[in-house]
Amino acid sequence: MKVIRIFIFLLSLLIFPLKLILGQANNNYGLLSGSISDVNTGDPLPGANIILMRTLMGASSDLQGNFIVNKIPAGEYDVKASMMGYKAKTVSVTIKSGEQTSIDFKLQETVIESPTLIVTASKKAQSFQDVPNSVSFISLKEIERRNKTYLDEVLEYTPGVYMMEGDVNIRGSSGFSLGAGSRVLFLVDGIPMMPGDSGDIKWDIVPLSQIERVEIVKGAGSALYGSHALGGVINIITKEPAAKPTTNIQYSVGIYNKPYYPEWRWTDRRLNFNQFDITHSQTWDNISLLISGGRKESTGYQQNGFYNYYNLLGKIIYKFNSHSTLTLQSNWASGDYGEIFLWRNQHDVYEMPIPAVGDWVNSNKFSFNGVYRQLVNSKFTYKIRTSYFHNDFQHYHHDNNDHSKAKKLGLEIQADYQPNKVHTLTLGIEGIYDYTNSVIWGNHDAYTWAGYLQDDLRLHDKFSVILGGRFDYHNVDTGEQENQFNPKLGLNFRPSPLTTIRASIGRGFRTPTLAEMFTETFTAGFRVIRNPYLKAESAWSYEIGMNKLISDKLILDLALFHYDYKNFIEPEPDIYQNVQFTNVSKARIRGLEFTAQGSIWKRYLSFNLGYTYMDPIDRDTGETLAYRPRHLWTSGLTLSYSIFEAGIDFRYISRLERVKVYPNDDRVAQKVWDGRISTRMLGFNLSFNVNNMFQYHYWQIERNIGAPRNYVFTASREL
Amino acid sequence: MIFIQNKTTTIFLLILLGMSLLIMTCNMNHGLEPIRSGISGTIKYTGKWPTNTAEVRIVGSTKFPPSDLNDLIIGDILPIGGDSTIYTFYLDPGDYYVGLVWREREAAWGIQSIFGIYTEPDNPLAPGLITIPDDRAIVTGKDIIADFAHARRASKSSISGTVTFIGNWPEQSENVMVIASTRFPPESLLDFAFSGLDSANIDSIIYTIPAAPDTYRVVGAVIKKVDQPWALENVVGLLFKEIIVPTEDSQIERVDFTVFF
Repeated sequence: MKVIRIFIFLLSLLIFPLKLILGQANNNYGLLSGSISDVNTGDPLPGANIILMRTLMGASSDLQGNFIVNKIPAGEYDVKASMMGYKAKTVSVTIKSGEQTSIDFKLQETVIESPTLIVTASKKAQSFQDVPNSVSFISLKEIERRNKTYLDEVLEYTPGVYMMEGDVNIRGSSGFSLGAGSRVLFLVDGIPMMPGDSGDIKWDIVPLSQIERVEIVKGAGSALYGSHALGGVINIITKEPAAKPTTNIQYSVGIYNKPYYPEWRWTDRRLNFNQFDITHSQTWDNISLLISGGRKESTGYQQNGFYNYYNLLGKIIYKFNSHSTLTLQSNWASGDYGEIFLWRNQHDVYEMPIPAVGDWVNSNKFSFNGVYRQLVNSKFTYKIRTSYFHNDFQHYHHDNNDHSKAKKLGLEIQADYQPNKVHTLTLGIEGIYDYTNSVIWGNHDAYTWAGYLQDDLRLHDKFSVILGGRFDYHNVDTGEQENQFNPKLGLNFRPSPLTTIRASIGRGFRTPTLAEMFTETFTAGFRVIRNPYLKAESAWSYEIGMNKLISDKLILDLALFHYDYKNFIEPEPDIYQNVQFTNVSKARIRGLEFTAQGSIWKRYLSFNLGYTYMDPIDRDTGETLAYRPRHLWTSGLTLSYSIFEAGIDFRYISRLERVKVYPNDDRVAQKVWDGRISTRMLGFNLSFNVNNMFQYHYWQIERNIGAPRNYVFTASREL
Repeated sequence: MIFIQNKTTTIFLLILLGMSLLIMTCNMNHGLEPIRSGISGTIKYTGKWPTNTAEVRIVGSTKFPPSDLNDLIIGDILPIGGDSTIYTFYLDPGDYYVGLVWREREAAWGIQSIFGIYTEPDNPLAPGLITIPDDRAIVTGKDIIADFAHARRASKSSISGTVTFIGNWPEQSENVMVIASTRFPPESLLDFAFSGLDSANIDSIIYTIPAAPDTYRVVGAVIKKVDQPWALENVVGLLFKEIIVPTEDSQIERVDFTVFF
């Protein structure tokens, strides 16, 4: 509780006087306004971004495509308008004192579905071409195309990303960790959203229908984000409330095909799933509101595979004035989920071991976040964010009724300061408090204090440098302490407007989660033993890459990467089927990644592909790292015409060379084809997907079979 | 049909059809396949189910005795309770020894946790080797008797020593192992604890038997002959001595004896 009091004190200390201390440096202001529309159709483009280049000022267009930027110091500016799916445009303007300047942007649609602004890599909006790391995106359109229930199912189509039963891997970072501790940091609107006990990712916390886009930054990101950002950062950007009252409904229904092999057909029931979401958003003067609710239900395709849960999301944005806003957001998900263990045997892969049939878990998650943003003047902006995440579960297993509660509290104060046109500083402090009360890992708490500083140096129009670092102090109630300093250096060179060469070096780390340190339980036939002396794991990541835009029809990206891991925390099974999280080894993953995205045939046909080669080595033993494939491939082909769209996607993950639990089991590569078709009719958006259409059977971890072919139909409309 | 009248829609559908046909012609396999062959039979339990039973699994091994859990193919978790249960253990074609392991709640299992072994029908002291001939064959009638008196949790306890061999080894000797029995004469394979394997035709071996806490009456050396299964008839030396392994951490050392051929 002492830590909470410190949080509150700091918050009250910092939230009010900053404005007074910093004051307003310049009273010589003008105003910029205008509109953004599609050059071909003339339709307004809501949600487009306007930034005054090399300043901290900007705005987003409203539902009518209009924007206003207030209090701009008089002077010359380059104003850039950008929107995902459109070619960005930059215009030079002169802002005069006391006058309003107007610009109307007309943007050209492009097949390249990459945003031109990234908010994750530097904790602030920056041009895609200024980011020294590899970044992937999932657009709203992409999410809608996939028609999935959980975000992790959508992430599988991202180059360099693969899943291990809920553990997300970016270029092989995570392996399989039994759901305890992710080496990828998970953010929602920039706020860490991982429970204080297990430190894994709860994919149901944000409904897919409320995601505007997802940014995936690859490589170590601890220089700004601290623990967990070892292999990368995933940031979900949620939708903003609409300017006029808008209500959307969406309903999906799907059925699972029977497995290809008759031996595996375990039930005569028609296995199915469905989900319903309703969203309303509205704006009154200075207040905007978005509220969303949904229900997801499934029989599952495996025995014990059912789920039935509800989720709510609420978002309120209050604009004190044009330069300060307060955003409050809350997410809630609660439901019952069948517990999937290892399959019964390879003759009955969709069935659970007889004693475990009927095991389930009740799980509840709740988060509440507040972010106050203040643009003090054209050179200084700050934000204060507080976050609270609650997670609890209760097992109803044949052999245990384990339960756990965990809380995570966070406070962060971040400032961006631009003293001149060369430097842009990002600095901040962060405090995190984790608490857990559990029969599995006991009652424990831990806290972290951190400070960070980053300087974006624009040394030349064609050359920029990012230099920064973060210090973290972590303390667990048992007395274990960690001090971590994580530096970062990034370089960006633009030899031509369409070519970017990038390089980065950074360090990442992850403190062990309370679950990894203190778990004492039995699960899936394994006894998990506590290890309170676990140390933080760390990694150095090195990357060079090149991004090349060829007209607006093709974008190519090539990256070479090298990650050196130290004190890797891995679950190590022994010959007695005991599992203990231990700092096992040094490891190295190096490889290359190539992505291409483009269109041909008058843009009717668009394609994307990504290939990642990895060489994952345990440097102590010389063996291949367990649960890391060598080759990843994703590709998609989309045919669009008029109101129709159809496409196919293929993803390939090479056979795992090494696994730990059942090394003698059969293993195969993953080769999954999906098909989709969509259209708009009578005000409805309709889509039909066939996932795993060739009935390819595989597992991500041993003895846990993937879904057979399934069909999903979705209808949505704005009321 | 309204759409088909539109030329662009027709083109769209034709392209879609072409793409679909192209994909359908790809030669696709279906990944993992079921294991269809295996061994089945009835498990008969003797003794009372321990109240702290966490699970019972069927296990297999291509060698006998398995030296640790890594040698075991871990099979199904069986229902807890009852006097008997029918099992089918799906395995690829090959030769297997089959048994049952028991695990206590909040404890691990080890090689000492085997409490049932399939034996030759006419000889309860001879492990039964079962051959699955092809990938569709279910070998039936392989009944196993599981005795809860032998249900033990994993322990680090052991008996170790040196065996010295004097004289000429019998012809065709391939391997040797050391066994310890809680009973003499033994009535079941479960009365024995086994060491790992050593090559035959040497002067001495240093052995370690993972032995659960108990009182052992006799220690002996058994040889395996080329192309022959293990058989207690091939015991070549015995040491009659009461050896008490009191706790799960007990390491009983220097249990040495000599075999005169």
